[in-house]
Amino acid sequence: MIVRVPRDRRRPAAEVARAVCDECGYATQAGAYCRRCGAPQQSPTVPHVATPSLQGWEGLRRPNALRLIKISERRTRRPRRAVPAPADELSARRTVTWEQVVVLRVLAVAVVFGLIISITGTLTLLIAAATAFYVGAFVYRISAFARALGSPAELLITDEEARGLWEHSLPTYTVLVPAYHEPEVIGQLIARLEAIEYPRDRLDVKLLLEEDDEATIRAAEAAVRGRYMEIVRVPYSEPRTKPKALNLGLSLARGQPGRGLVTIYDAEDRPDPLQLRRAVAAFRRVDRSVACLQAKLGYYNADQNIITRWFTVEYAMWFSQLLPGLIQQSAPLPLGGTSNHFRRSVLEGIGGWDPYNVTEDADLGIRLHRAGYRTRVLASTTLEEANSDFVNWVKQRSRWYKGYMQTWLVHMRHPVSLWRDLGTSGFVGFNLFVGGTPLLALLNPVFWALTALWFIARPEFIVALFPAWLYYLSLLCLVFGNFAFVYMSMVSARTTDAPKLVLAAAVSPAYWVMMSIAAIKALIQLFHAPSFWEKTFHGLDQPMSPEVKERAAA
Amino acid sequence: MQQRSGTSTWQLPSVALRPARLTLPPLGGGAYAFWLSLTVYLAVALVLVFQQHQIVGDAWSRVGNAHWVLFSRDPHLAAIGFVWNPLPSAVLLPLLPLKSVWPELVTHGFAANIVSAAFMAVAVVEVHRLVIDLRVPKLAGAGLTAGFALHPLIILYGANGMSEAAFVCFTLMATRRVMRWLVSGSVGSLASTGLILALAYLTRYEAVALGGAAILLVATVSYRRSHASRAERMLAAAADGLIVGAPFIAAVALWALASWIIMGNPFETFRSVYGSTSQLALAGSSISQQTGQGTMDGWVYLTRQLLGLAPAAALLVALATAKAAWMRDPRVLALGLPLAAIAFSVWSFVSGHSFGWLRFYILAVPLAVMAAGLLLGHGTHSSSSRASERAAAGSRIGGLARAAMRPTALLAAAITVGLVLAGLPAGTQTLLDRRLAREETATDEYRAGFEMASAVSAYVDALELKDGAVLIDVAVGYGVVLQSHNPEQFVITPDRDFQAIVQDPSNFGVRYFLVSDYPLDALNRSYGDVLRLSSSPFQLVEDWTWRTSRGSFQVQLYELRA
Repeated sequence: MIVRVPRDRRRPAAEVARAVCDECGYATQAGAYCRRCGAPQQSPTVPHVATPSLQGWEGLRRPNALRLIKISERRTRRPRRAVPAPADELSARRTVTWEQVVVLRVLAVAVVFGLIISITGTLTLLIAAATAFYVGAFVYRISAFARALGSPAELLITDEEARGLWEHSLPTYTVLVPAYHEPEVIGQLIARLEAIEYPRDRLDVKLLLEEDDEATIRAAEAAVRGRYMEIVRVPYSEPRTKPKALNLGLSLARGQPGRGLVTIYDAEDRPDPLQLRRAVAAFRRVDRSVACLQAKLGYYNADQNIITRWFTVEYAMWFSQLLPGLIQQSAPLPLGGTSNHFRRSVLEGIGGWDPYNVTEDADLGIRLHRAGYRTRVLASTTLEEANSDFVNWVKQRSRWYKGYMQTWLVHMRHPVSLWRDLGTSGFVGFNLFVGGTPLLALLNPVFWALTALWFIARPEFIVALFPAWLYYLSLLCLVFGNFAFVYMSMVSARTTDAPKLVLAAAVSPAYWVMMSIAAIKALIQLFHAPSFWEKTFHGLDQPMSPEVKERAAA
Repeated sequence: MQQRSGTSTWQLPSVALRPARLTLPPLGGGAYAFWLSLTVYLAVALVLVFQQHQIVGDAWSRVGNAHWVLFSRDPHLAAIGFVWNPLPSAVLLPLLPLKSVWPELVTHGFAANIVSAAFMAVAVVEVHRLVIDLRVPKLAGAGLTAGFALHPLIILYGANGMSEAAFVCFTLMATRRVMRWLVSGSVGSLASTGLILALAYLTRYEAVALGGAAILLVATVSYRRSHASRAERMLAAAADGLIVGAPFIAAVALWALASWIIMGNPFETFRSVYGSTSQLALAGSSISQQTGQGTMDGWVYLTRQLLGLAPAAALLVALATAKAAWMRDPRVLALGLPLAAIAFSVWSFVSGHSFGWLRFYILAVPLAVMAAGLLLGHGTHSSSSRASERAAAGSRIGGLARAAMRPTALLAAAITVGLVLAGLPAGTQTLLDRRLAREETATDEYRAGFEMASAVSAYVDALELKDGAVLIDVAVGYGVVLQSHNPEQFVITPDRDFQAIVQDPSNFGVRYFLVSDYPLDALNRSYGDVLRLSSSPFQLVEDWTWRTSRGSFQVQLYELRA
């Protein structure tokens, strides 16, 4: 689509030569829209920023490449604050900084000292703090949920619109698919990637396989057809994480750095074949500050057992209600592991993923937000395999919680600058959501135990711990909080159109127990193996051969 | 989600449950309706309370229940009481601390009037939004809103502090959301209906009829709409029934559980000595004398009450149903909610479980308005061609807002609005009828109750007693404590040590007993005979007797001799 730009709105001739379309990479005359592909361009007041080209993946592996580029500050032309001066300031390579250690120790000493002076007083204070946190977390989540239910903030692109995009206007799309020990699913994966409706000359699929994973590499080599799909052997190096592989993939992406779009799929994903086209259309529709689109994730094996049903309900709530709600509250969005679509320029500009963070997706979402970029939810679903096995589920969930803790610790190294970057509401949202999710799971068992103890034995010390005001507040949390969460799950379950899930949601407190187990495991692991990647085993929805079963168990 | 059907690999498991989507007009407006009606109700309340001294006992007593929670000898949450459902008292809690600036909030129970006025004003906004949802032409919609807001019973109960205002408000909110769900199938509407029903139950226990009707309606509609296998249809029905019912059922269960843990009995309103059951036992014969309860005369009586409130309600509902059946408009089903609540009131009166007060049929007023709204509104645009054809025809009948109005349509609209507005004079007539509005016409009783409470508490305050020196049953004597400058001088029924003190008053420093002649008064029940013995340790100090049109009541102050 060629849009005629009125003469007076064109840029001066000197700048015309430098204007390059952000979508198609074609040198175009400056204006509101690309003369070639019709994509909206940056407003003329914003000078085009050349993003640094990345010198190979070695550089990306080093966390000091992570950075924040403040688009908001550039726009207003305020002097740029020196963002992360020290190396790996934004990386989870170190779990805690020495300042954080000092703060933690001081807090620990204060608590011990308090306990010595007055056991009941200190414990009451701790319970009060926990209760205040509960109230905050509840109010925040319920309001996000209610907002999303009231007015869904998803970007909806119809099939016609997606298919109607002019083929020559589409940007180069890099699809990164990291996989490790997945020889069984690689064939299906390639078939699903082939189903993607996108011109092959603009599609750049990178299968990121670990160098020592011979079985998967062999399976992939046998299945790959077509030159748009490339197998990348990721050399052995620590940390062996998905984000490290992604950074490598990004550095090898086809086309010029700074142009085109990038997305990620996991090995077991079943993406909506029109998702890439929808993302292109959605990116054209939204503001330039939107750097990432998160597609919705769902599960194809929801009906396998009660764990997968709960998991499906949880995802329905997360992607259909909570994330859109967070967007409306302009809070930072922890991204989901796959199907997030980025503008490549932004991704490269902020240095890719943190290879030491085990939920690099959540961390990236926060970093994007801090840099002034926004994320939106795209109404297009990628189906994944829900974890159907208890042990496997706990492993996966503990990795998520550990990653959230890492992310929280990394960004809270400089709370004041975080608060400046995110604003008050975003800061509160970050703490309640990223810090709050694992903390809720950790605190729950304590309060469940107290409640159970009270009803069974009615010990006196519990009465002493809860003065009247705290007692009523805690009671309110216990009754309304728990009910609200069960009910929100039920409502989310109903939005999936699978009525059976509503019944599963009604008994979801049992799922919360599993979450707490995972959170405890995560906390322990955070200190002894912070960057260890708990591999989630896939293919459990299929009947297993004995050797596969053995590997899953191992 | 806009995805191509046919490629089954990535599609969500889906069951065709949703009816055709209808874009509903956005919410909004209503601010004028709110402030105007709030002003009217508050103005009426000011006149009633401060000029006429019409302080309705039940409303004042609810202020008391909230007051004991915060400002008594033993402030604790359970003091809110379990005979009445807690919400009307709970919403008063934030207002009560303001009594230091404006004591009349408590001494005249005006806090309750503020709350009822606010609830009724929200109800007016709900009516306003309902006529927008139903696409009623603007002028007719304004007529219907006025027909609700200015109905004398609505004004009275918006102004007098009773919990009916909240109940009417929640009923309207729930019904409107059920209507939204019926056309849009949105889970959000269903969930908010569920939450509102829970609030309605926490307001008045009559809401069980609303809740039951909503669950039944939603489950049935879901079952009928689903086109899957039988098992899937059952699941869909159960799922939707659960979404709409879960908060309501949780509210019923939690309130019963709390009551059971604290009072040892899940349903206090039926079991407690102060509950409606025992009050009915006391007043039963006089009710049946006045109303003919239990005989054919009872039916005549309640029909006169209902017709007196909303003369055209039945006709409007019938016409709305006929129109909806012809146009295939499912929204008429939502009228089942207020109808169920009215049916419940009728049943409990006929079977001798209720006093047959006029206010129990207050929902007839919004019912008539809603039916008229359905009658005047445009049809929904559903998917079936026959339905849409008829919807178009229906729009022509109802679509009076457009410039080219046919005189017949205009006349029909005028008659419909006129039928609703007929409730205004009829309602006034009914409210003034001493036989039909037995409670509302007992104005001298309210005034007497207030004046007596003032006199008694002034006398007791003058004695300058220590905390906990006077024993009183606040189920009867709430006014005395609320009027007092020193509420802590009273040992009241909700106090956790009340029973112990009643057993051994002198040991706890009690010096006076304030006893009414009401047979259910706790002190009357435990000390009634002893007090009046000449050899008893009690000495009568003061006696207050008030005569009203309906008999007299008496309060006596006894001093406990050491």
